[in-house]
Amino acid sequence: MSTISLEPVPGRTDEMVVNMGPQHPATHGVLRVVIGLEGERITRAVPHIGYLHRNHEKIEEARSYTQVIPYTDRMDYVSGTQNELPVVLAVEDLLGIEVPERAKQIRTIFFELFRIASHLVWMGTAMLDLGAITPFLYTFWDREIILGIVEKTAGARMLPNYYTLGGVRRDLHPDFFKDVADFLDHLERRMPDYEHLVLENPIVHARTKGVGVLPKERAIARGVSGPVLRASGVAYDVRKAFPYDAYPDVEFEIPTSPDGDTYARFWVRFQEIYQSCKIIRQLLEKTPKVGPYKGKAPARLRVSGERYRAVENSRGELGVYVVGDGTDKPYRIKHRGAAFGNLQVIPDLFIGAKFSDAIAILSSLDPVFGEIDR
Amino acid sequence: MELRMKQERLFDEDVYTVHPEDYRALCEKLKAEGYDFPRAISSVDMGYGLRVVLHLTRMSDLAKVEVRTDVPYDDPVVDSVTDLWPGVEWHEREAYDLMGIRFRGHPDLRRLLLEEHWEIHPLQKRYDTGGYPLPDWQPKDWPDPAPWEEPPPPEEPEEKAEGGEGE
Repeated sequence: MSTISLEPVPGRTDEMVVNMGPQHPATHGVLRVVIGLEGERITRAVPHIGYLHRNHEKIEEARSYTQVIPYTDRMDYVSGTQNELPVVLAVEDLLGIEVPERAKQIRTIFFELFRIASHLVWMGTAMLDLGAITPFLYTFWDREIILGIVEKTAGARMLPNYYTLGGVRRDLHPDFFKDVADFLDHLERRMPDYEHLVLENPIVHARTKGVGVLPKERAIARGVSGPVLRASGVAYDVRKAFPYDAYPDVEFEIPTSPDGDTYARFWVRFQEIYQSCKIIRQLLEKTPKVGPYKGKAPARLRVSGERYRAVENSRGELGVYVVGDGTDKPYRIKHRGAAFGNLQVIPDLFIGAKFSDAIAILSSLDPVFGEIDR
Repeated sequence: MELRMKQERLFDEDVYTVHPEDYRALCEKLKAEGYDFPRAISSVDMGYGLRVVLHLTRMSDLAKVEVRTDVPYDDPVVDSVTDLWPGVEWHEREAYDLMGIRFRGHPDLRRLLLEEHWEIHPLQKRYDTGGYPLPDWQPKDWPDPAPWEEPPPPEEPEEKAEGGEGE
């Protein structure tokens, strides 16, 4: 975060400097971008973040590993349990904890449910940014069903604190399998409506096609991940590249698009919802109704060594670097936010675009500031 | 030129621990070997100095490497690698902001998350969680052998997993 503004370019009197945010409703939280405008065209863009900074990493150094897990929930608050997994996986690696097969499957079902929930929130807010209010109401309605399913099992809706070392914290609610199957049926009935409202919408086409193009090589070098990278034609997905939990046992595809524009990022997220449904359906078949949900984890943790683990969050590669010093508290935890990596491309995408397109580009990056500012 | 470094294999990653002056040369070598995707830069306060950890992946075969280098508290400077991987720009700024490591040659090394007028680098161990200096904090001595040197082979072979960090 910085208080500086853009210095005028010597000899240029036609550039206007505009401050977008941090209270702008279309910045998905508290992002401030200082934008230099020449008419409608953006000539310079400097993003400032940090308005939501709480320094989780320092707080977590004073907590034990089990106490760290609820803090991670507060990072990417729309995708709940997904944030907990990197820490859990890294500590399980360092301690050599065995996770029962059923616990892995439960974790993966929750992981994918939250991916759908997060993409539904994205769909609503992205359309809100483009001026359509109705999809927002529809998608939050559907997301509510997911949160209800999560609440029945985990006890909390958005920040469930559900994963734990060796598995999950509680067994599934008896209604879980029926609820999830019903929800998937419901969602698959709704998806054609959503496609009609978003992907087939001529206004969306006009606003997003060819806007904010991110070429493939630039996307890799810039370190973007998740749907933003895959929309630029790179089939990199941590679920396939470095599989974890039950992902090696399920079949799914990585949707990619060669276009790299805002519409491609919209399209990839839609396809990911379909893939998530496919993964959950396979796991509902495979997961035993009863069985162990938690492996044996030592009561007193003595973690030593360093480990970087990453998972494919709704936004991209969510990583954690854990350094243990032989005690039950982390010596150092570093979170690599997925949206943090993606947001760096703002100058690449904004410069040369029209000011009104900047809003569409930003919503296609799907930033969540709890995770970017940590 | 021979790089002053140590290589080991931890889990599924190659880990290089390198002398800070050779950090840039090693990164150039890795870039030439095709490591094109910068995942993150972590920073660790080791007690005797500050550590930079660069995580890289090669997209073609998904090989992972970690590059570590340790710098002293009184002169925490390493070369920036933003020109090799533009994606580390914010990660380096974050490491500067929160840990106080300065990256030589970074195009825009300002604080990222904290205010510009902030005086401390809060992730250093000399500050408590409130951001106040701890009165009895003292830096440790540098380990001998240095982190980038191979530990002498005859004694204590079980030290291998620790990497001879002397923690």
